[in-house]
Amino acid sequence: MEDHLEDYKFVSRLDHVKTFNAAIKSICFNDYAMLQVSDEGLRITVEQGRSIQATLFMPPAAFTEFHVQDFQSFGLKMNALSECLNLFGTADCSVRMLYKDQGDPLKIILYPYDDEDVSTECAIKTMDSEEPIEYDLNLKDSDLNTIFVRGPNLSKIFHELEKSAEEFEFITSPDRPHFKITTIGIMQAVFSVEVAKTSPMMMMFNCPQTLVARYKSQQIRLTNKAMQAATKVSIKTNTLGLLELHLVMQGEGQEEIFVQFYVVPLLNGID
Amino acid sequence: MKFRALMQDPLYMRELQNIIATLAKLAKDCIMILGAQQMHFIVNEDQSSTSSPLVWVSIAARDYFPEYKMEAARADQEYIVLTMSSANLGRALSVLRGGGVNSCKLKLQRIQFPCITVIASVLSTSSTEAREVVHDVPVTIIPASDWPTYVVPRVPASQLALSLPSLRLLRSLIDKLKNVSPSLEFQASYDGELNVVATSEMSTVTSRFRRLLPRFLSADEDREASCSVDSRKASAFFGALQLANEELTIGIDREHSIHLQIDVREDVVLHSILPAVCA
Amino acid sequence: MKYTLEGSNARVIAKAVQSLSKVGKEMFIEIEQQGLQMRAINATQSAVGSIFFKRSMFEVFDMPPSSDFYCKISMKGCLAVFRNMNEVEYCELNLIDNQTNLQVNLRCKLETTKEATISIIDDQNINTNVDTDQRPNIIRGDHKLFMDISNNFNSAEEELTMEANTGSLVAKNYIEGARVNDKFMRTQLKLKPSEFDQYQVTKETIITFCIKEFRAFLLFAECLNTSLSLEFDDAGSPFMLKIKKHGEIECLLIMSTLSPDDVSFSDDYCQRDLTVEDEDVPAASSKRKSSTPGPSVQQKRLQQDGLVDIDSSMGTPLFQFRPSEAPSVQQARLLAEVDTVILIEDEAEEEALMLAAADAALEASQSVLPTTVPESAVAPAPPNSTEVCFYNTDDVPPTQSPTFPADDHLDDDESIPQSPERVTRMRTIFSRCFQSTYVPREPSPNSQAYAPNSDTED
Repeated sequence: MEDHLEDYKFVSRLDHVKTFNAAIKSICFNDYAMLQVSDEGLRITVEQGRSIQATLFMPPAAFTEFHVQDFQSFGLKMNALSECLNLFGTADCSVRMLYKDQGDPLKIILYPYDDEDVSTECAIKTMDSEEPIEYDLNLKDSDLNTIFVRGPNLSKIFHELEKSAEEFEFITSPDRPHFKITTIGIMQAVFSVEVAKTSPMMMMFNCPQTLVARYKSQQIRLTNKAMQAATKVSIKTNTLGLLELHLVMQGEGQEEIFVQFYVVPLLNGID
Repeated sequence: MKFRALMQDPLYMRELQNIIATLAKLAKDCIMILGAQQMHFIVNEDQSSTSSPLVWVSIAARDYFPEYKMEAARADQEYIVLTMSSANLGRALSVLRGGGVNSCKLKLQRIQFPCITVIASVLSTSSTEAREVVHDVPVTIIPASDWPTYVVPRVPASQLALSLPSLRLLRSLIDKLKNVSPSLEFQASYDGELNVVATSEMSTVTSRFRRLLPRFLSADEDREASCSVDSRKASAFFGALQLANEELTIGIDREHSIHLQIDVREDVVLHSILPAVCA
Repeated sequence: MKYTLEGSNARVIAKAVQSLSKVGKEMFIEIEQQGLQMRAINATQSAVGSIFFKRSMFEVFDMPPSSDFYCKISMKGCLAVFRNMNEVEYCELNLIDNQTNLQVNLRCKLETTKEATISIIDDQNINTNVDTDQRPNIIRGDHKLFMDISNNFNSAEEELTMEANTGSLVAKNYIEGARVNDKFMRTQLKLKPSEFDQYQVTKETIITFCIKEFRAFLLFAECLNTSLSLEFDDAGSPFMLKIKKHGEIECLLIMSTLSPDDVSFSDDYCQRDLTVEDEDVPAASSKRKSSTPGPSVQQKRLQQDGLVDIDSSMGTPLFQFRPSEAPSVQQARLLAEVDTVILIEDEAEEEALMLAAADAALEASQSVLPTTVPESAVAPAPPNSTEVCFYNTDDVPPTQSPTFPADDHLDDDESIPQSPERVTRMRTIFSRCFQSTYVPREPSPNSQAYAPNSDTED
């Protein structure tokens, strides 16, 4: 039944499915995903309209085994991928991913550790690839406000933001409030949360200017799952209000998976 | 018509509670057939309109009940047949889950309407004396003329049967597979391999279980058999199971049905039939 | 005005909010010399819960300059603020913007600050004049014991009946002898007096009360890890649940009870009762609709005479609330109007049923003054102490006679063109359900329990 591995243009293996599964789930907010594999690693991009984009990136070092010929790129259904990785629920599995060539399915094989007599093979159909939107947030730009925060702490803050709010206003500033999120659009109440730059959850705080921007709460909430799984988060924003969240997720084997979100601000929210 | 049964062994009480809790997850109503030696419970006897499978349990009365008295309405009748809300019965017995129950009595009586009264004597932490918790589960008594529609189902004749040592992985798998495809194909071979295949427009998922214990092979068949069943029914069955004993036997009657059997103990057996569907 | 608490005390307040949120949709806060009081009343007006925190729980406790302060805020907003309290180290409450907003500032771990501003809907208060002195029957026990009892009953259960005898306490989900649906599972639990810390039953009785509110307070007792005591008299007179902790927290839940002795179960009686219902349900609901003005009407009224709160919540019409004179609350009230419309829509059906019951009761008693004893009740006149009244504390000092509101309140009604009649009716049920002579026509103090009748109609 097994083909020869040399028939495949992309062959990889992960010792533990858990973090990969969590990372996939955290960007599973739209059904179509663009998948790209090269010597640099694996990249999966999901977009919703032109206002939010998420990209999962795994360098070759994150895999136990990683071989790729040329540059491979194809589209697939995100739900199908997520369902496959989740088949054994919380049971720990190793994963093998195989891809032969254009038009062939992406094969994912799960081997649960606690029963060596059980395995599951999923063949997910692939489609033609589209090009992800380029959001350029120039890191060398002097007008960039950057904050590094510990993931679990930030996740808690985001999680507690009032769910009935329509919009969130983010303020980053060299002076108080250093980092503040205010909920907008709740009847009879206004909620806000602020974190001082001296807080132990801040790993780095570099905000040369005061920036205020508003985002759709629904889009910010799309980042919640990723936030929950992240160990570190960098928040970057510029004068346009474009928000970049860069999250690092750590696997059991200390391998790192990166998830990057770009969120476009609401027009009326820019100062 | 009289029925009275007494339980005292905490292990049996918990087992009965688990069995009823399983049935309560599967259907709103359940049928209780009381015989001289055996007690049967059936849910979803009418399989047409439900996404839950037909499940029945047979319990040898002498195992569970040190005291068991059944007198049918007439001397020439063998049974008392009742229907009731499975959720009510489940809730009435849920007191047995916690432990600290001295005894539990079941009896059929008429209050304003016929009821199975469940009387548990519960030891509490705040007192040396036991508390009495009483639930009156309303029942409908089925007249003998209607009994033909309430018979204990027969175990289908499978061509091949395998036994699965642990349900844990299969249960989670089937729960997830129901989202992939509305039907699941079970392919079994007497060499001890079982494949569960789900196919959707976007993907094909094949789960393989190897080195299973072969249980039965009909003489005139080849060593393989397969059957496709409704994935919601399969998932409902596995999702409902509340039994500690997780060893399952799966029998395949090619083109007709899959028979699932859990032997709780020697004379306490839970069965289910998943009818075949077009793949 | 400023009030501050240390984190763990703030968490207790948060739990109190959670418990009260299971009673009513609005939170009434009162600040007085002794401390802070939070109250809620349930939709059917059959239960009032209050939780009092002594001054000593606060680090800073500024008194309002002149008199006591009280206000009403939305329970939803309150819940949202006090939802995640684990990280909170310090809590500060402020009345800001000329007492139109309540600001809650939560200083959390990791130099994080959360701040919420909740609009004050109105400066209203509720109060009860039920005599809270000890009753002939007192049952006290650990929260675990009552939790055990409560857990034996389905979460969907509406009310609990207790048969208190000198030798045993029986908790049931039904009234002995009452007609029940043939799908209804009866449950009973029999306990020995020795299970309780105190078991003083001098007057054997059977009482029935709402279980939902009882559970809400039980939850708070669990959070305080304390015992609770139930105090009651006869069926039909108020039932009290009291919780005390270190003399700093005092909780009181007053619930109306049904008397199974007064409920007749003969088919004849029930049948007649049903026909009354049949006639009245549609009439009552249409009346309700026509008397619910649209937002624009309410707006107008607000400008004209400031009588905002007549329709400002589904509970309000039943109270002797009077509009406050402070114009500074205007803005908050506008918000309240928005909230109100939704509330009324949600609860319209329930309220229609209540009205139907009110009508039935009214017919039976030939619409006498609310505080007089209905003809149908032959029991001796109720002691004043069982009266309950709700009033604006600005206008009515707490020592005022409980019969006071009746006349005054009729005057108020006249200034509202659309709904004088309705309010009168509401007054009637309200007072009746707290009277010891109340003769219930339905085996339930809770509006949902009218459901069996609607079934019969089908």
